[in-house]
Amino acid sequence: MIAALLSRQTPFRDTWWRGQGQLDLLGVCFASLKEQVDSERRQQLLQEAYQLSDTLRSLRSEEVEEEVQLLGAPKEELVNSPDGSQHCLWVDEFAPQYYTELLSDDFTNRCLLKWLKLWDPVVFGRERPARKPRPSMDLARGGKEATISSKWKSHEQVLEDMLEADLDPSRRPRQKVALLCGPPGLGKTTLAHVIARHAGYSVVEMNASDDRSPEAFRTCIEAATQMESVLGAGGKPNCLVIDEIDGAPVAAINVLLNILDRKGPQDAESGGPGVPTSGGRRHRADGGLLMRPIICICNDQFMPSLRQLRQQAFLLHFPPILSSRLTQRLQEVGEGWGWTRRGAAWPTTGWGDMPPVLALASSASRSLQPAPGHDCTGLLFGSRRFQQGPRLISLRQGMQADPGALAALCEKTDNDIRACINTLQFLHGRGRRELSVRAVQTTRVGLKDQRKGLFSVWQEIFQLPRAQRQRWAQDPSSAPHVLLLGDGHLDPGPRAAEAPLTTAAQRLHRILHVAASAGEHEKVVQGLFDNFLRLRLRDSSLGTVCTALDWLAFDDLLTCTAHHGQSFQLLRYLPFLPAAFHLLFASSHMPRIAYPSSQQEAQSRTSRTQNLIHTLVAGIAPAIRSRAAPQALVLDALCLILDILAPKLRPVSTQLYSTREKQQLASLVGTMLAYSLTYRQERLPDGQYIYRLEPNVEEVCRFPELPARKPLTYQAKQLIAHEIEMEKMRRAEALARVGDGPQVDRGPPGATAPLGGAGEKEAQPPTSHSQEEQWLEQRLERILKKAALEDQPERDFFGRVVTKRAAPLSAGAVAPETDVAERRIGRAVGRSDVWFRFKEGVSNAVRRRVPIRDLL
Amino acid sequence: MVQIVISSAGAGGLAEWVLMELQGEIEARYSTGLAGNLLGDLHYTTEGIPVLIVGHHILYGKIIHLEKPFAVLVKHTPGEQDCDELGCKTGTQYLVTALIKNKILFKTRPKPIITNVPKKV
Repeated sequence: MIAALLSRQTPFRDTWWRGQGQLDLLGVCFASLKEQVDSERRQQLLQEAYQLSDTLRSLRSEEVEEEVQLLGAPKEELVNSPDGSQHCLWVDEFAPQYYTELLSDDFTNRCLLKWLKLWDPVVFGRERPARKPRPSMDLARGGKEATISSKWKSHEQVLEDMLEADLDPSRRPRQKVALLCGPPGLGKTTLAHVIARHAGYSVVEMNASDDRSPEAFRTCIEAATQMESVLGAGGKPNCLVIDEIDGAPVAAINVLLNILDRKGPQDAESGGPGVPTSGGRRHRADGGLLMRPIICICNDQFMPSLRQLRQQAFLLHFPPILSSRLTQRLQEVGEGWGWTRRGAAWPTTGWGDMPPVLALASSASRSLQPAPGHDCTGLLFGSRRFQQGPRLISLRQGMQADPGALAALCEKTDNDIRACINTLQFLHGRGRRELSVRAVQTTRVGLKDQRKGLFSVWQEIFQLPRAQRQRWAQDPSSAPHVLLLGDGHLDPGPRAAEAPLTTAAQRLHRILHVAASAGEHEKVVQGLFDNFLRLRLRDSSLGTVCTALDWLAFDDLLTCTAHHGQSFQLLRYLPFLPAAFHLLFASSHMPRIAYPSSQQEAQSRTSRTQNLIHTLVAGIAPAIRSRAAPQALVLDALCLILDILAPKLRPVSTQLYSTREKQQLASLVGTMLAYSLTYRQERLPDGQYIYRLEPNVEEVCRFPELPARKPLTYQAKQLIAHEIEMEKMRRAEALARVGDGPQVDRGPPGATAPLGGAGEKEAQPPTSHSQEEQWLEQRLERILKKAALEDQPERDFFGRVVTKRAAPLSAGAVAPETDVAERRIGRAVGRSDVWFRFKEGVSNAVRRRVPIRDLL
Repeated sequence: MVQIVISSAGAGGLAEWVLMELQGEIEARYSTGLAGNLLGDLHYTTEGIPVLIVGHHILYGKIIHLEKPFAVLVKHTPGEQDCDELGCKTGTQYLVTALIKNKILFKTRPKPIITNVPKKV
C-alpha cells in the first residue's frame, strides 16, 4: 500500500515542475488542475493512512526508516523547486485563527471578549450569569487600596467597572461600540476578527478601502446590523468591524454616532434627555435600534474626528507586544510548524514524526471544539492548522533562524508583527534560508505610516536619550555619512533614528532626521522658541542662549530668502536649527512643554496697536496732521499728549470754575477735539462702568506692567466727555451756519443797536433789523421756500380750474384793515420788548433781612 | 423808641390797585431795561378769567381776594423845606397811596402764540 502511495506522488511532482510556480490558471492546463485536486484528496487519505501506521510503527520500525529515507528525497526536491504556493502572504497564512493564538496582551483580549459577551442577552437571548460575590478578591484588594488612593482608578479598574456595569433598559451594554487603538501592526484587526468569531458572530468588515461617504456608511452599518448574509453565515449574527476609523470623514462618524444614540421606548421612559415622546406614545427611531455590536479600530485615538466617539465607546488601548512572545511566534512561522509554545517541541525532520502528532491533534481538536458563545478555556491546538497540508509541506523548510536574529528583527521593527513577518517572507522569497543578525541589520523594513505629534518631536529635541543597551538591530558599522543622506534613499530604514546614541554625531543625525520628517517646521521652531528658556541651562554665561537666538535669526533669514526669491533649495538647511538646539540644550530632565502661542499673541497685539494708530491719525484735524506723521506721533508725541490730557480738575460743576480753570478746560477740550479723542462710557464685564479713551491710544504708549500715572477720576472724565460733546455740537452748528448764509459773525443779541420804540404798532417795517432777527427771518423764509410747493389752482371735481371771483370791495376794504391789525399784532407779539420766562416750582420761602435803618 | 409814622394821603378815597403775580422772570429784550416798556396785554374772558399776553406767551390766571390786604406806602423823608413852623419832627413818614385787595395769580405754564402759520408747508 505504501508503495502505491509513493508511486502516485510522481505525477504530483510533474505538475509542479511544469507549472513553474505560476498560479495563473491559464498557464496550467486543465489536466494538471485535475491532478492537483486529486493529489489533495490523496493527502487526506495519506493522513488517515498514517494513523494506521502509527499503530504499526512499533511493529515495523525498519519500514518507518525506509519511509523516512524515501520521503527525505522528495523533501529535498521540493526544496530545490521554486515553491508553488508563494502566492499568499505569510501574514495571512499565519494569522491567528483562534483565541489562544493571539499575540496581544491577555488583559486586552479578555476585556474585549467580555465586552462582546455583554451583547449576549440581546443577540443570542442568553441571560447574563449572575455576578458571583467575590469576598476573597475584596480582601485582597483591601490591602492594595490602602496604598493606592481610591481617587485615581487605574485604567484596568475603569475597564473592569465598565464591564461590570448594568445594562441599558433595552438590555444592551452601556457602551455600544468598542474602540481599539494602538500603533500599527499590533494585531488589532486580527484580534477583532478572532474574538468576534470566537463569540459566535460572523464578521462584516468595513475598511479604509471602502467608500466611506456618509450614505455608504449608513447603508453598510444598517445592512450589517439588521440583515444577515445569505451565503455562508450559517445562521450566525453579524458583528461589524470598522477598520481605520480615524481616516473616515467626520460626517460618516456622525452617522455612526446617530445610530448609537437611537433610543428605544424603554430608554425614553427612563427619562433620556431630549427624547421628544409624550407619555405612553412609542417613539420609533427611523431604522430601529442598534442590535449588534460594532468594533472600531484606529491608530490615533486623538484625532479630532473621534472625539465624540471616544466618549461613548469602550476604549481599549493596545500595549506593545512582548518581544519574547513575538520572537517565539516568528520562530514558529519561520519553521513552518504549529505552535510549539504549548506542545512538545517537534523536530524538523521528515514525515515520519508527523503521524503521531497529527493523531494527537485531531483527537484533541474533536473534543475541544469551541462552541459558539462559550468561553474558551484552553484549547491546545488549532486543528485547522493541520489541514493545510500542502502549504505546510512547502514551508516546512522555510527559514532557519536563531532566536538572536529574530529578537533583533523584533527590535528593529519595534514589535510590529506584520512588519516582521513580511520581512521574513521577503527574505525567504529572495532565496535566503538563513537569518542572521547581520542580515537583519542591513535589511530595510517597511512599516506602516504613523503619525508622531509635535510634542514627541520637541521631547526628542530637548531630552537627552537615556543610555540604552546597545541596540543590536542597527548596523554599528554604518558610517555616519550613510546616515546623512536621510532622504530615504540610502538610509537604513525609518528606524535610523534609533542609531546608537552614544556619540554626538549620531545624535545630531538622529535629530536631523526627526526634524526633517516633522512636517511643520514653523510650528516646531515656534515651540522651541517658546520653551527653550524653561530648560536648565548648563552655561552660566548664557552664551548658549545667545547662540540659540542667533540660530533663530538665521532660520528667519533663511525662510525669508527662500520664499522671497523662490530659492527653495535653502530649505534644506532648516532642520539644522532643531539639531543645534538639541546639542545646546538637551538635558536628561524633561521640562513641561507648552504649546507655542507667543507669536500669535504678539501678532494680534501688533495689529491691534496699528489699528489704533491708524484710527487716531485718520481723525486728526488737517492742520495738525500735516505735522504729525504716524511714526513721529507714536514715538515722540503720543505719550506726552496723554499727559497733557490729564490735568488736575476740581471735581465740581463747571459753573463753579474760575476763569483760569475754565480756560484750562477749554484748551483741554480743544486739544482733544484736535486729535479726535474722546471718552466713551463702557461697561466692564463685572458690571462697572468706566470711561475709556477712544481711540484707546493708552495701549499704544503705556506699558501694561508699569504703573500708570494718576488717572483722571470717573467724574472728571464724564465732565470732559460732556464738554467735548457740547463743543462739537457748537462747532458743527457754526459750520452749518457759515455754510448757509453770507453772514459770518453771530454776535450776542444785545451787542447791536436796539430798535427804538418797538412797542408801537406801526405798519412801517423797521428800518434796521438786528442781525439775529434778519437771520431768523431769512431762515424761516428759506425753510418756507423749500417746503412750499407750487400753488396749484383749485380744481373742481371734474378737474376744471376754478377761478375765484374777486371779493367785493367793501369786504376787501375791511379785510386789509383787519389784516393790517392782525399783522400788527403779530409783529407786536413777535417784537415785544419784554420777555417772560416761566419758572417751575414755588418760591414761598424767600426770606430777606430788612434792617430797621433801611426803613428810616 | 422807634416810631414810624404812616399816614393816609388825603380824604379822598385811596386808589385801588391790583397785584399781579407771575411765576417766573421778566426780561428786557434790549439792554435799556424794563422801565417804560410795554409788558403786555391783560384781558378778561367772559367767565372772568384773566388772560395776560406777554411777548409770544399767553398766560391764564385767576383772581384771588386777599385776606390780608396790602397797602402801598411811599416813603417821605422830609428835607429842610418841608419842615413845619411848629417844628415838626424831622422823621420819615410813610404815605399810603393805594390799597391792594385783590391779586391776579398766573401760575400755569404759558402757551406760545404762533402768528405766522403759512398756508402750505
